[in-house]
Amino acid sequence: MINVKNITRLYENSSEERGIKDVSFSVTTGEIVCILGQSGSGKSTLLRTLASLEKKDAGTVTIDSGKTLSYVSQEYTLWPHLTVLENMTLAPVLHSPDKKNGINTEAINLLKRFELGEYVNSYPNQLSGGQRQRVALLRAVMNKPDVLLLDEVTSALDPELTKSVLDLIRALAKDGYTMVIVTHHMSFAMSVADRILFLKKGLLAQDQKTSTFFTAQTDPEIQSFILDIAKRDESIEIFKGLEQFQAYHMGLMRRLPEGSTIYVAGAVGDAWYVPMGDFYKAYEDLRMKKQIAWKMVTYDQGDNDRRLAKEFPELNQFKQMPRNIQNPANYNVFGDTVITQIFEAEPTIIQIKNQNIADAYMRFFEELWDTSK
Amino acid sequence: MLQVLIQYHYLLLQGFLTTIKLLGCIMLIGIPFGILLGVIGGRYSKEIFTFIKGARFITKVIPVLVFLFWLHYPLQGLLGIVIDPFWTTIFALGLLNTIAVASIVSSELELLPKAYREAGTTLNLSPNQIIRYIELPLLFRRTIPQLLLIQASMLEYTLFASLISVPELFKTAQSINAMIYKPVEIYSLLIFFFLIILGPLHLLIKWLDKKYVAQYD
Repeated sequence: MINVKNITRLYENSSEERGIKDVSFSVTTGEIVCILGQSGSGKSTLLRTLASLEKKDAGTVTIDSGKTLSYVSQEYTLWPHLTVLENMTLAPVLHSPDKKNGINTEAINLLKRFELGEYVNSYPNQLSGGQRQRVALLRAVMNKPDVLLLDEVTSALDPELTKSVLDLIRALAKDGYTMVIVTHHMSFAMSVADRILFLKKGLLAQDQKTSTFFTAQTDPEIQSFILDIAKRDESIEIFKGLEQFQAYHMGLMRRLPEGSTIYVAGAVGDAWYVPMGDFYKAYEDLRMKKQIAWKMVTYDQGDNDRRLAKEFPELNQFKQMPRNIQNPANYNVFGDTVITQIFEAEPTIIQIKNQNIADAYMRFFEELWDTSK
Repeated sequence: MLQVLIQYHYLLLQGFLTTIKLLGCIMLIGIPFGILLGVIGGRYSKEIFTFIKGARFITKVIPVLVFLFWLHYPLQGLLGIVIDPFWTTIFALGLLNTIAVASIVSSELELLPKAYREAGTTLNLSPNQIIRYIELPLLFRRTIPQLLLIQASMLEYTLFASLISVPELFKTAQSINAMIYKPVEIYSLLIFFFLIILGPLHLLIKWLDKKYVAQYD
């Protein structure tokens, strides 16, 4: 639907060159792409260039004929002299003046659907920040765009208001909108995005499937970026270091209900047992006692895995992934929680508590399970 | 005071009407031309914007009375023409009003958040639709108190016309006083006239300011 080829947009900012350089990617119909990157990496410039709000220095942006884009920025852009309803209907009514009544009804229904019906005749200054951004999103939707470009629409909001806006975007994603979203909410990106584009100093450093980007990340700089944004995300907790790693898994065993299942994808051999050290024995005893099962797909099985499968087959269902599956995500899912683990000198766990993400990762796990032997 | 008013009501009314005519003409010139010039300067031409700022600086520096006298005496003498002081006043104050209005409009257009215009652009509104349905209404709300304040100043400036013999309200009051010498009654009457015209105007400015500033929180 959108094909971006080698676009460049540079500008001087306090003697430093900023913008985007030679960026290429494409977005297909119904796809949701999140753009991540450090501040000043060119995310907003890229989105503004797609929306034709910035002139390109070079390159092309091709959009399928007849397809339209709508852009919502991080600033509050509702026109303050118009009511909520007038904000939503001004552009569509100017485009089709003969359909004014139908457009008004459609706008009111849309506002009601997203619990904004009581604000139809309110002015923007009478709304909270979250309500303003939700109306701005719905105003963009009223224009019937084929692609929504959302530029950090929650950056000016506190966490509670942020949730309402992100929920609205999730609902629009469910409706099948194609979206390109700049965000710094990791759990949100994980739950809605099909792909992640990562910009580094104006260059497109990575274009990957969401699961691969977050859970099988090999670039140390991006790993550190993921940890940084995870710290700011309320639904994400990070456990770093041997002590916390072991404590987390022991705590998990204690709090999981009897008969639960932990779904594991991408772990390699015995890597996980090493940081558990002496605590592993206590962990295994507790797991067997509570009848907590592991359902695992991995490239390789280590000695411990083989032993467990032999001794307690009903609690250790293991399958081997075909080698042709590239970059499998490395994660565990249980209930509404997903964890991803980094087995380095300082082992790290990133825990995301979010039902949408857990559901998405379960679907991915089931695909892996079905294709594995 | 009432006696003076009853006795000279016809003359005072004449003077009052002359003042209103002056103000009406000054507003009719200054507001539309000022808005037009301001929109051109604020949106389409950097040169016009610079010109407006320069002209505003000059008109602020030169006292209104000096400017009016210069137009009435030396300029007309140099050109060998004689223009009715009524029209000279309208030209001088109309010009000042145009420049002041243009300056307010162009500055406010510069200050209007770019995001409002961009929101229109991304919703596929044309530049003319953006100006007409978004920027001008916003501009109107933001500038109306300042524009009214300028018009109130213009009303005050019309008093200078008395110095080049325009028979406006102040000149009429002076003439009546020269005939009957009752300065307390006559000038109190003048104060009363200005109070009933400018008082409500200033209250309106205050109300509009409060009403519209709240919309931009």
